Amino acid sequence: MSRLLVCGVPLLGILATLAAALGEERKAADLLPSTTVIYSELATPPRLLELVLDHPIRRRLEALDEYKKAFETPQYAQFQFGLSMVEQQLGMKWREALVGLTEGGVHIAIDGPTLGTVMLAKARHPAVLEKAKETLLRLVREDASRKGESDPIRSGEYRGVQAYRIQESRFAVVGSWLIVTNKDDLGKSILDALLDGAKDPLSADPEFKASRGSTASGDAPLFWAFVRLQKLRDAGIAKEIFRGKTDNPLAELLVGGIMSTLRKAPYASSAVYGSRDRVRWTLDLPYEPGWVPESRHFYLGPTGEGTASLGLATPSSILSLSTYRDLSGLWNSSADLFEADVNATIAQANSQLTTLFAGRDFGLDVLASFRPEMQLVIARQTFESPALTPEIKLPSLAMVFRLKDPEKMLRQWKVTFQSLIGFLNVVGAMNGQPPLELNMETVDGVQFVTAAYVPKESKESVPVPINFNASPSVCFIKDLFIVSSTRQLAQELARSARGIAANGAAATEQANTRLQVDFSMLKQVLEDNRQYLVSQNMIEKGHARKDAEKEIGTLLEILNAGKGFGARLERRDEQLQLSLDLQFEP
Amino acid sequence: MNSRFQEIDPSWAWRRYEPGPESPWNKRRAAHLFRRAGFGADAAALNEAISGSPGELIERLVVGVDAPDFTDQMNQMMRTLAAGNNPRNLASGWLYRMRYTPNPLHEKMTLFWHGHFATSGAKVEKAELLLNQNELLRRHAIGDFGQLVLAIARDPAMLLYLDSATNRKSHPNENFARELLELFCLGLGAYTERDIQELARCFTGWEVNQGEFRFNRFQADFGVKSIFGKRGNFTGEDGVRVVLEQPATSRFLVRKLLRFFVADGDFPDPLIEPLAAQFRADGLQLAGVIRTILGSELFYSDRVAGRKVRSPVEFGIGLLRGLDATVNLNMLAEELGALGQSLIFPPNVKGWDGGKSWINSATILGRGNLARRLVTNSETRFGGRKLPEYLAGQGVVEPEAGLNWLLEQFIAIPIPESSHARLLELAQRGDAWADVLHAMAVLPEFQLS
Repeated sequence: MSRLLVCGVPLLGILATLAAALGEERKAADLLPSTTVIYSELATPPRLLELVLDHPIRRRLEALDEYKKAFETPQYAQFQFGLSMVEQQLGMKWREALVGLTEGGVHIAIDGPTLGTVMLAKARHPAVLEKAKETLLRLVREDASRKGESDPIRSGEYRGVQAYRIQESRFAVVGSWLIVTNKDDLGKSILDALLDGAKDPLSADPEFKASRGSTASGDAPLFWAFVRLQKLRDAGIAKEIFRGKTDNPLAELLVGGIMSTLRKAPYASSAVYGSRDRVRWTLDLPYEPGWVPESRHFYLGPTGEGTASLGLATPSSILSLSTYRDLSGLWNSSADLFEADVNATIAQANSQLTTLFAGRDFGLDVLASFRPEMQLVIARQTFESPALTPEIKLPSLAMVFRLKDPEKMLRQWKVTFQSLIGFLNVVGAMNGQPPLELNMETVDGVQFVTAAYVPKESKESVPVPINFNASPSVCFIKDLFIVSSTRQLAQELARSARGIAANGAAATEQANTRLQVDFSMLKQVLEDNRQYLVSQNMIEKGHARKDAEKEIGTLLEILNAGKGFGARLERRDEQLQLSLDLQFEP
Repeated sequence: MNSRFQEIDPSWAWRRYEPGPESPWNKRRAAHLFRRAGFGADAAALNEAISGSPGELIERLVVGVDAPDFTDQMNQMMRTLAAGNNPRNLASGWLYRMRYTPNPLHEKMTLFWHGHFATSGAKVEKAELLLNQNELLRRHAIGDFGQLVLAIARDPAMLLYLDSATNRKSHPNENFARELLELFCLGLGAYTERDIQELARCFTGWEVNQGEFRFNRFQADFGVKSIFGKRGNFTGEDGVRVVLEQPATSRFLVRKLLRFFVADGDFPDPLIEPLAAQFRADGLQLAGVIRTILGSELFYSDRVAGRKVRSPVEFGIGLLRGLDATVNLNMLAEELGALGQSLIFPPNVKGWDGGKSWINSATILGRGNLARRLVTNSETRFGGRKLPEYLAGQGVVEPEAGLNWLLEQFIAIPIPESSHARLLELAQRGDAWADVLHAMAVLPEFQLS
């Protein structure tokens, strides 16, 4: 709109008014061209504002000194001053104004051919938008006048629509629509779509429609975005994401299969759903098993149907991650997945671990003895005797594997565990650490091999060292192999496995990966370590003890607001969906 | 030899300081006492100090105040910090203690003994043992030197540091015996190689087992030893006793205390001897001789004002205590290490050299940067407030009066007029007290205690 056309034909004004009326019925995707590469929308900003600003957690946060400090800056004070000025001009509070201006949604898009960015916002009523526009124009002009500068606003008409330009931004108001863009051509195409209806709108695009369909379930999202991945790849954007190899094995384990899909999928969509008691984010990708190379079959399985079938539970669980990952496949495909230096490290580790496992190749024999289903559990542990209660109380951690040939592997793993404890004792003795005492016990028919630290005989009351958090244990239940940092967790998981076996098979699971974090148990672990946290606070902030206790108390109080966090990776028909779910206490 | 002290009459030097018109008991002298016998003090503590007599204040510093809550809190905090087995955490915890302690002289003496009986976390590595040693030093800080030496001789951290974890009669380890004579009790030249060898035999059978001291009688040499002309079937305890009986012990310790409290450099024997005699007469109890030093005419005279270079710990904690400031002590511990004083990690068995060795072009710059970081860090609070608000609360508003308040608080000797003018110019810019403090902190006079 830099070359604003001033045609001066009154008929066009009438057309613009008519278009405004017609535009009221249209959605943003009806106005945007099908060449749009990235599209995002906040469908109901007032709902988002209400969720963020009126949420009980916000009040708890506001009570924190840290929160107050963050806003004690001159910049924030200046911002507040500016905001109050604008409120005065608008004659209403900023929130009220924002709700009025965006009630019909805010949409931001990037067009491929023009590389233009456009924002479309739909107000509650044309009059609200008109007032805001007039106020903005007045403020900008007054500011320029105060600075002794010339009028920074250029204006003109395009097909009867009054348009404005301030520096590189062009904007126009048509009915309830506010259109802001940085490119003339994109702005004109949207005005044309408003006046005449779009010939080839984004809303009619098959990929866009498919994307909308994949996420249109249940609640309407607060935020929704669509990206044409193919166009981004063609443009050479975010090359790192689409690169073949990585130097981070953990990232490969966590998101390797998703990255393969991102490299081939033509588009992706993402949504955020929110309510008072949860916020959920989803990423949806079209998926075809053939897109994933053989080296990454470890992730979703050769046909893409690998599921997280293990679901042992314990009441003290802080985190449970159940997943399908063929560790042997990952280890043995390392040459195709990782950079050279990572491969060198893996080769060295393979050699050392092969020695530890009595000559059985770690990748081809040891890891290959596991089925791909596995589970990680982190749980709060309790201590029976104060004399054996460490000053820092760590949660326990366990891995659950399914063995391919339990009869054959049981003895092998038992011997390896005993060797490992012996090795730890030798190394520990060299460093003056107490020894681990090896024990075997059978509980409800399940055999446990456990090790526990032997307490030091001391005349004085000395802090119990951090290693007393560990009592490494293993046990075998049918084809399940549980290896745990503590005897307590091994026994709890074994109890859960027995329960599942007794009650029949667990429900069929479709997810490839399931993660659940329980905040109340996490808070309990922090409570267990309150003394340590207070000490750390005293050191890190120099606080007096009562101040440190107050601050830690407030932080723990805030944790009360959270209930849990979940993540899930799931294949549904020809879609791959990753979702993250943060739950709050109601 | 410090020529400044050559001509001083010992009877005048150690005579009890009596305030008078020529040398009044004022904030400057109280600040001097707090700097030397502690880590500085804030304005409230200085005002309280001058409302009483110097004798009362010294007595309170030496005897200490009963603060069971503070002691419990510190014990609890240090235990949890040691539980992570990272000796560096102990340094932060100790700085916290220095910052808040109601018994600054005891803490200052703990620091003195940490340098004297230097033991480093770089070698010992076990936080629990280092914490135990630190507590041992604090327990004996102003107590019986003989008991302290004996306790140190059995201290697992010390024995590990000096490679004496196993000391067998077939191969007596001379390390501890040598350091006991050279660094801990007598000083160079006051013993022979033969004394070291014989003393080392006394400590055979002294071992560390599972982090605790153990006497292994099978490895102990019960034969006759000859040390400093005395013969007997001396045990380790006997060996320590014989060493402590040497007259050189009291002179050695008094000399070191004078360097710590009074001035860097050396002191002539005539000035040392009266205090050494008192120390011997007191049965090597430290309190008496420290009282004499801190309450002496010499201590409050202009001859010793600004005659000590502030150690990094004195510099950092002095700023915090002087401004009632709270700061991230992990950060402070790290910064002090960069300035040459890593607590719990002394550079070698001799401890820190101190004096002029603290200062070079890099550390001066580092001290200035540390002061700026301390006063401008967003986390730092001064009496729970921001610096300008805290200073306003102290009446520091008008530039010249405010500057003089800060100078009296932190600087031991007058600064040149040109420096004063520069600082005043900064102060007059308005809301620039952080800049003033930074500029003060790099003045040569600020480095002196």
